[in-house]
This record gives sequence, structure tokens and C-alpha cells, in this order.
Amino acid sequence: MVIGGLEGYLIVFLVMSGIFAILTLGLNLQWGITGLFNIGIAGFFAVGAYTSAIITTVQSPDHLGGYGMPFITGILGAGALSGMIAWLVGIPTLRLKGDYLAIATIGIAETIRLIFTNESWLSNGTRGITGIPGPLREVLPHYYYNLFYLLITAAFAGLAFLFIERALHSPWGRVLRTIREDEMMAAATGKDVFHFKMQCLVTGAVIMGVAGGLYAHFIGFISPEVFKPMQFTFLIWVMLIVGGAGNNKGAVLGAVAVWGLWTGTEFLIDALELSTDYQTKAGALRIITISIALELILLLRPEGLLGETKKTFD
Amino acid sequence: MIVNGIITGSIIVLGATGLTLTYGILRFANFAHGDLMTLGAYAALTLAGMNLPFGVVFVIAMAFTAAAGILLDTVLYRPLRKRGSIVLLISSIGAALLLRNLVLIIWGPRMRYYSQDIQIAYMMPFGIRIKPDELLIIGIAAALIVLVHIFLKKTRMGKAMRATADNAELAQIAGIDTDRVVMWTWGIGCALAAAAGILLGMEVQLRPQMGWDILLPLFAAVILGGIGRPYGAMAGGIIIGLSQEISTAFISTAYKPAVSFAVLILVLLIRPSGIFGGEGRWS
Amino acid sequence: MLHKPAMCILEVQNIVAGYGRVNILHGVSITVNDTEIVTVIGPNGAGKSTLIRSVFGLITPREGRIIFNGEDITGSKPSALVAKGLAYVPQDKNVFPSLSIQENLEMGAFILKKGRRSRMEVIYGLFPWMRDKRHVKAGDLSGGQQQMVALGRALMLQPRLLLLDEPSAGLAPNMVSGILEKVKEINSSGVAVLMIEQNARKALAISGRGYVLAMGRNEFEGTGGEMLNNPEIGRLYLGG
Repeated sequence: MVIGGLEGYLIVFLVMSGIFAILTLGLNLQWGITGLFNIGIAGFFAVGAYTSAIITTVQSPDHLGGYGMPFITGILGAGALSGMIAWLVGIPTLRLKGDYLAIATIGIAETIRLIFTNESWLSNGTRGITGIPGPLREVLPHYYYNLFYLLITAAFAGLAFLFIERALHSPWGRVLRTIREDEMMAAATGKDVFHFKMQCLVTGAVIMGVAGGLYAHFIGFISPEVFKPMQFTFLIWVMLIVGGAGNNKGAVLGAVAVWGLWTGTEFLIDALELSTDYQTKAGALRIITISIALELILLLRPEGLLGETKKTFD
Repeated sequence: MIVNGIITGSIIVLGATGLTLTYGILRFANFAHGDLMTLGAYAALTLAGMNLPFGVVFVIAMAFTAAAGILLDTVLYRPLRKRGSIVLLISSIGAALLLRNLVLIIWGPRMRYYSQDIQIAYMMPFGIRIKPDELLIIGIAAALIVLVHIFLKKTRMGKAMRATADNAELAQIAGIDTDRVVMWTWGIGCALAAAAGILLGMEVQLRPQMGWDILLPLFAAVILGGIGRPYGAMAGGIIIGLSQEISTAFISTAYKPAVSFAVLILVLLIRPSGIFGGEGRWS
Repeated sequence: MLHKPAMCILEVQNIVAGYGRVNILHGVSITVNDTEIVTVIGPNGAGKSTLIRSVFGLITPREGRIIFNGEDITGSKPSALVAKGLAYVPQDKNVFPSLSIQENLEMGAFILKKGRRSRMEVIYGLFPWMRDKRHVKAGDLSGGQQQMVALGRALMLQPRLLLLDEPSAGLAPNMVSGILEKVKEINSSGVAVLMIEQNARKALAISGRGYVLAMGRNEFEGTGGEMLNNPEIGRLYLGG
């Protein structure tokens, strides 16, 4: 169906931006507000996506499934399981200092990816899970499904945004921000720092898991390749830094901007119709572009486009 | 299996020693270290194509990578140093991706090999079978480690590097030229990375992901041995290499990287300063 | 021996300095002559360490000047000052723990092109016990021994002025006298000393002059004897 080709593409772009915005908001809660150095985003995202897929797909010999639950159950399950994994992960790692936590979270994301790649009984390995249902997917024609999905994604993104904004201004959020500024001071005021960090980690992971579920139902297909930790996680980090860590509006803006840069370059390259070898190289060029964008922002405008929300609530 | 462990271990030792030097002296986790290994390996590939003798290729590739590391520090890390180790870590991830994809563009995404010859294994005592290349890997790694040891123990700059790793402010107070120490640290750290990359390319093959894929085991070895302790990194490297290989007897080989991760978590929980570390140095 | 007129080797003129947005020193002035030991005492938080760190270039004063040997060194970097004849021993973490005693001393003379060996002999002469233990890692030494290694390291370049931040910190009482004796010995070989000390009585006993610093300002100045005999100072700062 070629109804409004460009319009159709724009809708896809917006849905993906929305999903990325949700992810970036989750990272903002963990890093921007609380200072938790999570490089394992791809892991939580993958857990969410696969959980939702497994909960909602029909019986298949290739992978775990056959529960045939509705969309919303899938999404809730995605968030819940992602949160649980975060909790398990957090117990040993949350007491670690900054860069140790970073290394640990990379390891976790890698391990999760390895599990999904190798445990075929669970995930169908590298072949991935296909035919993931979506709300009204069978009923609506492709274009209208995407439009409908855009509304759903926007709703979730809006929810996430509002939730984190409220949290930022709440007493809970104040404690989190103190933890980022000076953990020792937070502990000195009698707060159980570990507890708060855990709450933040789990909440952020739930948000990321939901994003994963949304992704799975939108595309209809997932495989471990999608969740290549470094590229994927890196992209989200760039989104947050470009937009402005600590700032929710920045998180959303950064997501849209960087995703725009990313798909824009993809568009360009597709248009050139290169041979496969050149395509891979062109893909590499896109990553280089994003990397350079990150380094430039770090060097020249570290507070991001929108800057950190100034301390107007203290 | 033990032999494979020692071979992999030797490569990890070289990589980890370079990494622990930069981690200990510059005080941040350089996530681009793996991709500097990749750079060195591919540089050697090009040099080898020019029909230069093996030793020359090695040395030039190491020098080239050392220069690349110093350039990276000058352009990117130095201006960001005052912003703290987390910012440096993030920027190093960007640098890693940059290097990796540059390699991809310049040399292409397919696997490459230093040589197409199949090697026949030697028979050694105790029924160990080892190929000449594998012996060479262990030999070169050992030789380089000895050289690093002599450098750190006997030369003025080597001692200054150890002093700076111990206490950077005191080094400044004593009058040590910390800028030069930083330069030497990058030079040696990256030269070792190049060597590790070349040996890795000899052991398996060359592909743009090669350095990144070994980064987690490298960090595990560094932390196991205590950050900033080269001798610890050497021990850590052998332990990680051996444990990865031995683990294949119990779990699928696909999970090898997860093994070093498991070791890492254990170390961080039980004794974060490493088996040789005395003081937790980071605030 | 000819009596040389005392020359002023350090002059701190009215410096204001601090960390971040907070000023610790609010206009402090001191002088040190090239032959004397000057001790600075005062309550915790008075700014004594800040003063010494400002002199040595680890903090840049916001106002005021520091003149060393006739030269304005305000804000100079430590590596430059070491070459000019200034040396500093911090209160703690003042040795390189994984380096041996000998290597610690060598690092003290990093900028020296040659003559390191003869300087080391001088230090071993000052602290004879170090010679036998020179290959022992500094981290394995006792607190008192580490303090002496720290002192030795600072002396390797034959400084004109030695800045000491609480040389007796953490030492057992019998060691305190020992280390202060060493400081006196060092001074009599021609090195001026500016020292902060909590063990105020013992320090003032070997000092030519002293200053009292409180709340980042000069409170009192006098000879060692004057300060020891002053009942007010005795009550407030010397423990009665």
C-alpha cells in the first residue's frame, strides 16, 4: 500500500522516535537524575521485547510461546520481567562505583544477548521470533495500524514523561538527585542510598522493558541482532547527552534529533543504491557520524541542547 | 585445552597490561583499548602486505598505534580530563566506535588473515600439541612482558609511571613531569595493545569487532589483578584465559565471554581492589 | 663562622584563598627567614594546610602575593617550584607505597640530570636506618619510618625552604620528638622550614618564630619562646 509514502515513512519515524524517547527517559531517570551508570540498556530492552513476544505469540515449535495473551498483558509482562531482572542485577552491582558499574552492566547486557542468541528453545536463537501480534493488527490495514500504533506509543511516551517529571519534583526525586550530586551527603542524611538506587534502577528498567515490548509489537519481528548492545546502548546515551542529561524534555528532544540523524543518513545511503560491501561501509560511516557528534557535544556543549534543568526545585 | 588457555591468556595479558597502565595512571577506564588493539592488528596487516620482515612489521605497527593513542589523548581525553572519569569513559566509548568503524571502512568488513598457510602442530613433551605460530605468540608475549618489567623497574620514566599510578598528586609535588608521564603511558599502553591485537589476529583472524569482543575479559583481568598493577594484570590475564578455556568443558563455548564476566562480578563483590591490590584507589 | 644577616626567603602577603566558592584564608601574611624554623599553629579548620598548599602552588590564591627568594611565585605550578628550591611534604599519603625507599628518594630527584647518587648518600647519612632497608617497599614501613622517607624525598633536591604539614601526625609520642629532632638537624644544615604542627609545644620549642592562625586570619606572631611563655596562647592553643 503506497498511501502517502512520505507520510507513511514519517509515521514510522515518529513511532520509533517515540520508542527511543521512552528509552531515553528511562536512562534519564537512572543516569541523568540519579547518576547510575547503566550501559546495559540493550539488555533490559531485549528482555522486554522478548517477554512481550513470548507472552503474546501463538504456539510455535521454534520458541517458547503459545500463551496468546493480549497486547497489554504483553507490555505489562515486559515491564515486569525487565524490572525483576534489574532487581536481580542490582543486588550485586549497585554498591559498585561508577566505572565498575558501567563494566558490570555491559557484561550483563552481553550475557542477556548471549542467552537469547543461544537458548533456541526460548527465543529461536538468531532466527528470532516472527509474527508478533499487535493491537488490531489483523483488522487495520498497514498504514492505519501504524497510525494507531503511533497514538499508543505517544500515550506511553507521554505517561513516561509525566511520571518522571512528577518524580523529579517529588521528595523521592530530590533524594535521587542528591545521590547523584554527592552520595556521601545523601547517606549522611540517613537515607538508605542502596534502596533508593535500587528503586531507580528497577523503575528505569521497567520503562525500558515497556519500550522493548512496544518495539516488538510494532515491528512484528525481533532477533538478537537488533539488540547489539554497544551500538544500541550507545545510541541511547548519545540521545540523552545531546538532549541534555537530567532534563526530560531534553531526553525526548535528543531521541528525536539523534534518531533523525541516524535514519536521515540511512535514507541518504539507501538512495545511493550501493553494492553490499559499500553498504556496510556506509553503515560504518553513519556510526562514525554519531560518534563524532557525541565527542563534539562533550567537548563543546556538554550540557546538551537543552542543558540540565536548573535547580529550581531546591 | 590448557595450552589454548595459555595462548589466549598470553594475549589477554598483553592487552590487560597496557590497559592497567592507562587505567591506573590516567584514572579512567579506556573503552577504546580493544579497538586500539584492532587498529594495531590491521596496521600490521597492511605492513605485512608490503613484504616487510615480521619483526619490522611488529615494531612499526606498535609505534603507529602508540602515536594514534597519543593523538587520541591530545585531541579528546586531555580537554575532558577535568570533567571526571565518567565523562572520559563515555567519550572513550565514542572513540571506540569511531576507531572500529574506521577500520571497517578502510579494510572492509570481511575476515582477514595474516597468512593462509595451514600449520602442522609440533609434538611436545607431555603429549602437548602446539603449532609454531602458537609458540611464537607465547614467546612474543613473554618477551614483551619482560621488556615492560625491565622498563618499569629500571628506568627513570618507568619508576615515574609507577609513582604516578600510586599517587598522582604526590608525583606532581615531587616535581615529576606528569605530562611526559601521560605521554609515555599512552605510548606504551597502546604499543602493547597493538602487539596483543597482532597476536590475536595470528591466533584467530582479523575482523573489525575483534578488539571490542575481548574488552570484557581484559577488564576482568585488570580488575582481578588490581587496577594499575601490571604484575597483577599479568596474573589476571593468565587466570582469565585459563578459566575461559577450562569452562568449555562444562558449558557451551558460546558463553565464554560470560565466564570472564562472572569472574569479574565475583572479584568486585569479594575483593574489589583485586588479588594484589592494596588500596582502593578511586573516589 | 661568620654571622650572616638573615635574609627573608619567603614572604606571604595578604593572601585570600580557598576551594570552590568558599574562602578559607581571608588575608594571611607570614615571613620566613632563610635560616629559621617557623611553626604555624591554630585550631582545626584555621587554614593552616590551605596556607601551605597555596605557597606550593596546589591552590592559586585569589588575592595577595607569594614571594620566594625575591621572586613572585604566586600561582606557579609545583613542578616549577621544585626546581626553584621549594619542597613540600603533605600530611598523609606522602610516600609512594609500591616503590622502595630508594625509588621514593629517586623520584624526589626526578628533575636532576645527575648527582642523584651523591644526594642519596646525604639522605642515608641523615637517616642511617634507611640504607639497609632501601629496597623495602615504602608501603610496608611503619608510620614513623614513612614520615622520614617523605622527608628524605623532599630533601633530595637540596631545597632552600621545606614546607611540612604536620610531620608528627599519627606518630606515637616518643616518635614525635624524634622526628622534630630530625627537622632541627635538617634546619641546621641550612634549610629553612615552614611547619604546621598540632604538637604545638614541642614544635615551638625548636622554632625560631611562630604564628597563630585562626578562622583564616593571623591571630598572633612571635618568637618560639614568646609563644611558649604566653599564658593566653598556652590556654587556647597549647593545651594549658
